[in-house]
Amino acid sequence: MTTGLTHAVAPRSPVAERATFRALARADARRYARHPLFLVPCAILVALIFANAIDRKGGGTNPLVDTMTIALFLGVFGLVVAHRLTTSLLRTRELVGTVPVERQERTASLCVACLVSAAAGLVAASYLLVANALWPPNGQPSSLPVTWFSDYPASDVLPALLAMGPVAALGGPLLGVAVARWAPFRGSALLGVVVLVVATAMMESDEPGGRERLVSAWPVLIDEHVDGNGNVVSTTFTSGIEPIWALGWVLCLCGLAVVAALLRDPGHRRRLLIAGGALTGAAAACFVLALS
Amino acid sequence: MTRTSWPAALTALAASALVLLAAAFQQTAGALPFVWRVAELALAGGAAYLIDDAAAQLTTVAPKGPWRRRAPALGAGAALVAGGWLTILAILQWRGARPPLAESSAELVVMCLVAVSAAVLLFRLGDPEPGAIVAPVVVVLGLGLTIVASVVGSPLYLTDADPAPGRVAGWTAAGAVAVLVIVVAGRDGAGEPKRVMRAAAGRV
Repeated sequence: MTTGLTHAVAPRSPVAERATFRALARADARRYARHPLFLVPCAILVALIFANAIDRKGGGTNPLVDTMTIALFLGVFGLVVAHRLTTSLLRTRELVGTVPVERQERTASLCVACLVSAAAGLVAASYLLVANALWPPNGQPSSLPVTWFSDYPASDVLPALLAMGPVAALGGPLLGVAVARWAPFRGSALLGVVVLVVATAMMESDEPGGRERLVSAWPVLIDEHVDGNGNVVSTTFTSGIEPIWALGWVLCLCGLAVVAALLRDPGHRRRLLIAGGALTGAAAACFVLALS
Repeated sequence: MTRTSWPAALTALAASALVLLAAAFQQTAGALPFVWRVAELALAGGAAYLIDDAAAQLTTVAPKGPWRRRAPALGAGAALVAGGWLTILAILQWRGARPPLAESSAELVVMCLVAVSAAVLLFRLGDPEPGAIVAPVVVVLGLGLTIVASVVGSPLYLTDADPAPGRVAGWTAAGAVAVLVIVVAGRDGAGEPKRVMRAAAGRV
């Protein structure tokens, strides 16, 4: 005779599932927003913004150069934050086991939490818009072009700003989640950071106009022009790359990182593979269109 | 070899492989100085893993002192970092892009000390595996310094230009502070109750 307890688990309704997921995503977003490796870079960015505002300094001759700061402080640091949050599920396995959600849902909610970083990137990018409106960038002499609205259409400037700023701030953390799900060993965050940075650097051509830089996860869409003393006097968009399709390309890479992270667990395999296939196709199309 | 040395070994291997890859396939060699800088930072970051001790709650109350306990892992880790660095220098020599040996090696030593001191501090504050945070942060902060140096137009690393006395002093000070932190924060926590008891006994 068995005397064990039998648990009757009622199947969750879709509405309850959605509510649970929303609550989980909110909790993960709060964890992300409170992480010291997110707060400290944000504080540095705020300090830089204040310094910039006090100096009444816009983008000078390279109005998009500050996207590099956004990508580094929110994107690369974000990789580490997301990796830490994701591996924390493994470090507290006993506790996580008591939560009535699948690990795939936890992964998905962590991916949603990465929007915190993207939102911070968006705020920083908005500041760039305001600062460059107040203190317009100019070439030296002013007849030379700069990569801003005065010399280029908004359909070039805005996608480049988004791709190199907020989307980079989103892509880094998403990559962190994917790395942590597939390679949760000690040292994988460091390797992820190093490979991401080196791969980006190696794809960036040191020749102006190199189109192979689009292969990079953080494509540099601008070329700097310097005078004899090495000072940047003007900036132009890389002639061989369409910024709007480059934005599509990096967004598809973000989507693929989410799919890769979710594929670690067995659930919804078919739907994920279809989504992955569609995103791969879209990424390839964006890549080709960006270079055509 | 203890478990602690594996991330350092992996980092040394990966850093060397990346520099080799850049040296072999980056025809213009424009990215090579940046890649070796990242490799140098990765090696320094990898040193932070040498302080990790997943069983800290048990080992910190063991009679063996913390540095005697860590000595094999630190020795193996130092050898791995040195091996990785020599490999990287050999690859850079092959491409004719080797940085000044003394300055670049001094940079690496100071960065390793800073990474280890940060790890020791976090360990002291209760994180048994601080390497997971410190290692990537060392790389990202080092990159941040590289970017700041290029934006400001003033060299910060010893290898960026001929070593000026100010920069040498700065790096020396950073190394000295790191050593101080390692010594102070790395004291045997388990020994403190004994000292307190001895002091209390003396007063009675």
